[in-house]
Amino acid sequence: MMDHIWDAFYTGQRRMARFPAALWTDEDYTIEFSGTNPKKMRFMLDARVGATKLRIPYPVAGSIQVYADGKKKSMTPWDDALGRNGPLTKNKGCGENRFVGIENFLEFYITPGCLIEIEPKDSIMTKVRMDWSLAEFYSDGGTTRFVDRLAASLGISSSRIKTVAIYEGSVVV
Amino acid sequence: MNDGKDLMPTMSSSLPIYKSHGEGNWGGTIKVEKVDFVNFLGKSRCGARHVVFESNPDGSDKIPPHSFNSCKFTNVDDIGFAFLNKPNPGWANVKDCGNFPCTAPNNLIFSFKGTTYSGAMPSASSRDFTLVPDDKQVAGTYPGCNHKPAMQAYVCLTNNIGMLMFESLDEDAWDRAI
Repeated sequence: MMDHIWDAFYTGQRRMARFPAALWTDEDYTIEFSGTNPKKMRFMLDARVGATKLRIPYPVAGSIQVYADGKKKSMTPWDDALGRNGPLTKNKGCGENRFVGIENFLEFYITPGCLIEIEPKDSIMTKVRMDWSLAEFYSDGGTTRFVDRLAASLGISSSRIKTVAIYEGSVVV
Repeated sequence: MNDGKDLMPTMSSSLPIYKSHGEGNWGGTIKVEKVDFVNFLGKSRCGARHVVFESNPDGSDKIPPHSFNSCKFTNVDDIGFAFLNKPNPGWANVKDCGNFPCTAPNNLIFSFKGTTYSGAMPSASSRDFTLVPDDKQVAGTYPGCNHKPAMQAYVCLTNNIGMLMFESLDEDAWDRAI
């Protein structure tokens, strides 16, 4: 056996991280990595018909940007009832996507011949649950006060925090 | 391939010419249009295997999907139709594929559309179908597939089978296991 490289104190092999997988289209699939997820990836589907929705779980908080054929794609609209970006409709074309914070998974839709590229955004999506009523929350300054306090505790500018939705749960921001 | 060959040949190719000499490609698709395949009945006059489709026994990393449109098979029976090789168990070593053999042979897709037949015919003689390898964990789970042990394949009466490619683009993609 020949080692290819030294990696700190250990020897290792160089191996291309490129994988083909035959699949039945028009089904949904989950890709789980046994190691740390790559940050940047690309995906392509070669098929006569059909398409597929892929889900990729992430072990850490973050957010992912999806590009389809080089074009930046926004996430699905926020769903107040679900408290997260809405599920994929599968009728918005290649690149429809959402990243669900807390549960930390990315979902995107890929059609034949479309190149999907993903890379991390420099932000974290999170959800805060507070033991307040909605009335108490707003009487104490609401989202502005909440963002100011969070920014102060994190030591960052309040302009870097975006409140996406507030709903009663008791109060979930 | 990614092995950085010169643009112009500087030496003769290594033999056999079909042997893989680099990494598996990202893209690539093979289209075959209006080709007639005649008199493939499984054995040559000398008794050697004689089939229309045989997968590359050295294709360990990627075999691009093949599309066959409006092809005609004349005097081609089950045994002469195809023989799909299984992954070589010898590929399962740390230097090559890791703990199990590379799976390109298990991800092979031959997709047929508008196929016609005459004379001797294979048992699954449909116009539109997909030929996939004899891997019970993959093809065995697809609906509408018939197992063909003589071909080491499944014949699936659908075109809903595709190949997903994915790749890490990280700087350490070559030396970090994912």
